[in-house]
Amino acid sequence: MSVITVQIGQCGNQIGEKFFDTIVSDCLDYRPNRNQFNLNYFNKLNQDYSQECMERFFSQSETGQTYARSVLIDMESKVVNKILGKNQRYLFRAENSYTQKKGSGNNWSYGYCVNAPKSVNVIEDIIRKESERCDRLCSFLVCMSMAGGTGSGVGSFYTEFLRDSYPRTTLVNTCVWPFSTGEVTLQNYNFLLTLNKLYEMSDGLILLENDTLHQISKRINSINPNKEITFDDLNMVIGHKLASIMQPCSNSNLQRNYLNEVIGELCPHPDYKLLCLNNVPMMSAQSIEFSTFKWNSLYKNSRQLLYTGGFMDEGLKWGSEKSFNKTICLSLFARGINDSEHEHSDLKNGFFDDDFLNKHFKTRAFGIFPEPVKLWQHSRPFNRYEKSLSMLSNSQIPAFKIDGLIEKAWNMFMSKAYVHQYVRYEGFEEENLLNAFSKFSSSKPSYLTY
Amino acid sequence: MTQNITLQIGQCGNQIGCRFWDLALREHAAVNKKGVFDESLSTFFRNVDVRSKATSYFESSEIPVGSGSEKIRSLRARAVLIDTEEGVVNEIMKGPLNEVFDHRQYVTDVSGAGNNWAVGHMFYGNKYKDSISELIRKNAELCDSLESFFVMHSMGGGTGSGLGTAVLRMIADDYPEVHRFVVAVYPSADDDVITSPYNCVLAMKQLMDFADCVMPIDNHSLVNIVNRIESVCVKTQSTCKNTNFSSSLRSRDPSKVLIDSNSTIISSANSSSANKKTEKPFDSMNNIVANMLLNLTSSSRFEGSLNVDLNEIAMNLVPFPRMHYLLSSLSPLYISEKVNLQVRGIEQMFSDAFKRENQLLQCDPKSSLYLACGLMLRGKVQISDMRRNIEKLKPQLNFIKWNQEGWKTGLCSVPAFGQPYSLLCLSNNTCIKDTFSTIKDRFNLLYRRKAHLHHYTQVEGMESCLFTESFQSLQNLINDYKNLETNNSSNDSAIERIKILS
Repeated sequence: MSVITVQIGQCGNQIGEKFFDTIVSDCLDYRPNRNQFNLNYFNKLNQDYSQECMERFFSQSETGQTYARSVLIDMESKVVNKILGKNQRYLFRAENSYTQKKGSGNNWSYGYCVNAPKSVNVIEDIIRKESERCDRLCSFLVCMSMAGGTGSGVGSFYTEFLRDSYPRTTLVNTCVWPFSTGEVTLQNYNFLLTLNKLYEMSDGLILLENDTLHQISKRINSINPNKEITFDDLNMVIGHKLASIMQPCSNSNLQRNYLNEVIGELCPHPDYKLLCLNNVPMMSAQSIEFSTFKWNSLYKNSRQLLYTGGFMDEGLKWGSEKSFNKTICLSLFARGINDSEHEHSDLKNGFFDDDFLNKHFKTRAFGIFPEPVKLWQHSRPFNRYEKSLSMLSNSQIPAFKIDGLIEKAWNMFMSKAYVHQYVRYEGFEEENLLNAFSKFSSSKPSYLTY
Repeated sequence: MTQNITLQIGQCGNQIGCRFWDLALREHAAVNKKGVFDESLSTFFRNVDVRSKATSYFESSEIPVGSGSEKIRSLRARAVLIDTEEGVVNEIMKGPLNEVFDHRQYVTDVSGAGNNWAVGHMFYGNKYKDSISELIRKNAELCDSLESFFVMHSMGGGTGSGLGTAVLRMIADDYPEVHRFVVAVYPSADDDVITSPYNCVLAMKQLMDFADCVMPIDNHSLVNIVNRIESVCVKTQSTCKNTNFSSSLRSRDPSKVLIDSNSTIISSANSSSANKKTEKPFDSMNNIVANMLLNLTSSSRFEGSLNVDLNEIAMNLVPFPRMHYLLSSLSPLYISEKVNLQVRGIEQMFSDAFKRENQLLQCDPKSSLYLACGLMLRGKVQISDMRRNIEKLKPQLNFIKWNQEGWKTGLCSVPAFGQPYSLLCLSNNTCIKDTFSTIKDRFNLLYRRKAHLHHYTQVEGMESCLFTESFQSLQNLINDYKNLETNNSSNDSAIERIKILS
């Protein structure tokens, strides 16, 4: 079951590139630990894993060249050209790329109303051809930022387009949030308008913030204090996070629609689609060799991350009696060999105690009873970590931040600042902004008050 | 990649333009080692084969970028030079840059505009309207995708302010989609043109209506900066060869222009006897302005991890249509690679950019309200450096209530020539109203007595109500800035967010 990645804008293309890099290096660079005594078993495991992974994300040409199943879209050419120019163990298809000259000017309405409609015929073809190359297409993964013009505007347009043209294919958006101290002055408007559109059209929104990614990168690179963190480092973290949930799991196989199931379990209700992605452990490559991991400590850390709304297993606040974060449901992805002490199913069932379940899982209130915790698992270690646990959760954590951002956008709107930049493009009026605000005043409280 | 055309008008505009093209060639020569005509070069230059037997300039064989691997044959600047007297343009064409400009790329007259805005705008505007518009059109047709015009002129003279704003109006009509960036040199308090307040206010009205983005500069700040740099150089006895700025002003000998052969890649003459480097007087100051323009366009020409195109700059830094004046400052400050203020580190570079002494206009942005601020970094700097410094600087700066995180950041990996890293800071700040107030007061001093008015009103097409209109619009602009300041400090509660009642 294949996944096509649609990379939009500078951010989307850069993280897409790192995502594929991570997958390839995970598959091809794996060396089983010499201390393992059943090497044959592990080699077979690895082979199955790689095969499934290749089928999911890559296509082979007649010459044996591996191509990523990816569509690259940007409104100016520098980033895409750089990616296409790289020659590695896999390539991006040049015919799958689309660029224009002028960019989108960090303006959602320029991206959505002007640039995207211009490109729709060409991109429609590209996506159709790429989907024909797949045996069975199961989902689209759209990578974009929410602050820029192309990522937000063109990204919203193509999410809508994919939803309309491929209604039965799962549509997951990976959205990157800018730095909260300000990266683009129009980020709040762009964010509001994008979220508005995506909420209607997408099946699940995985939210990633530059602030938290920056902290994580700093920790990963803390071995080398003189090194300054670059965007490449941030993108590597994103690649690791995305790959950790997208790589094959034992409960899935070539026939099942993996992403559909994951998202289906996580987003049971159309009003609750915001997903947070946390990974433990996250440490530098040099530290991994000197660390030992135990499943129950990984599970405990994840649980604490969920309770406190944290993002990193360092500096966690333990000992807080109550968690302020209510959760709808979550999925755990455990990758790595079992250790003899705990069974995964026990850990999963014991993840929450009954008291917590009753207070914080309001799914019973809807009258639907999905499993609050779903476990996906594979024994093959992931990306150099002997054991790793990813948690994709549908909870209140993002809602608090969204509220703050919308407040700021509202203040800007009240002063009528920058509004002329948006309305000057045909197809966009002040009403669109107003509608976006009103939509969020009605559904956001539902996240915060359930 | 998109192309940009520069329109250089008047003596000041042409001199700045001349330095700009010189430095642009040098920068691209340093980056483009293989001599291929790639996309970044095509943003400012055209590749032309001079050996073809074309009769007309514009039909000569234009070599397009194609796959970006064509060798450079002969470069032509995408520029239009306009002046009402011949001296300056002729000098440029005699100098080493004559191969970059073609003799059909400029429009000149003989008599000059007499420091009179009306003569420049009305008389010359009408006389040369067609030929200028034709020239611009031909240049625009040679562009694949025209992004913006860079208009360079002064505000105090006659040609720059008058004809310059007439050209601005023309391109606003003919090319409404193309961005118009104006680099305007404002008269300083001690300038020698008496009618400069009139010219300035009359031109301001045109800028307010027709420009997308204005970067005001004044000579006083530039002189201070140059003097600072040179005094530091003399003190530290670095390897700079330049004489002190004021002495070169006295001993000017413009006919003997020797530009170091490192500065241009197509300097045909001048490699002999280059011991003593004589520069034209305003060159150092214009170099700073040229560097500012190069840094502004660097992220759209070269790759980086966080690209900023020119349209993004206008989009992010202009919250209200008429308030499009961006105060610029450069850090580190350098005239050439040998004459510069050494900067101790990235932290100092950031904090310098916000100091009063580094601004290219006499203003102190730290004491006033910021509407938005753009930071364009080049070179070996990373995102963590940028974030760290923004967090450090934020408490010292006063941002308007609704735009507390009003930063626009850009990272370009290609450094400027001779500098490992550099920063251009563009601020939309209310301190600019002080500059405008000064000009307005000087205007009033003259206008109250109707001094020199007859020179203007006797020009055909000029009406005296234009004076009052321009004055009024300038007054309105100043009031707009003032209102923003007072609204910001008032503590009225925010309007409650819209809610759907269910």
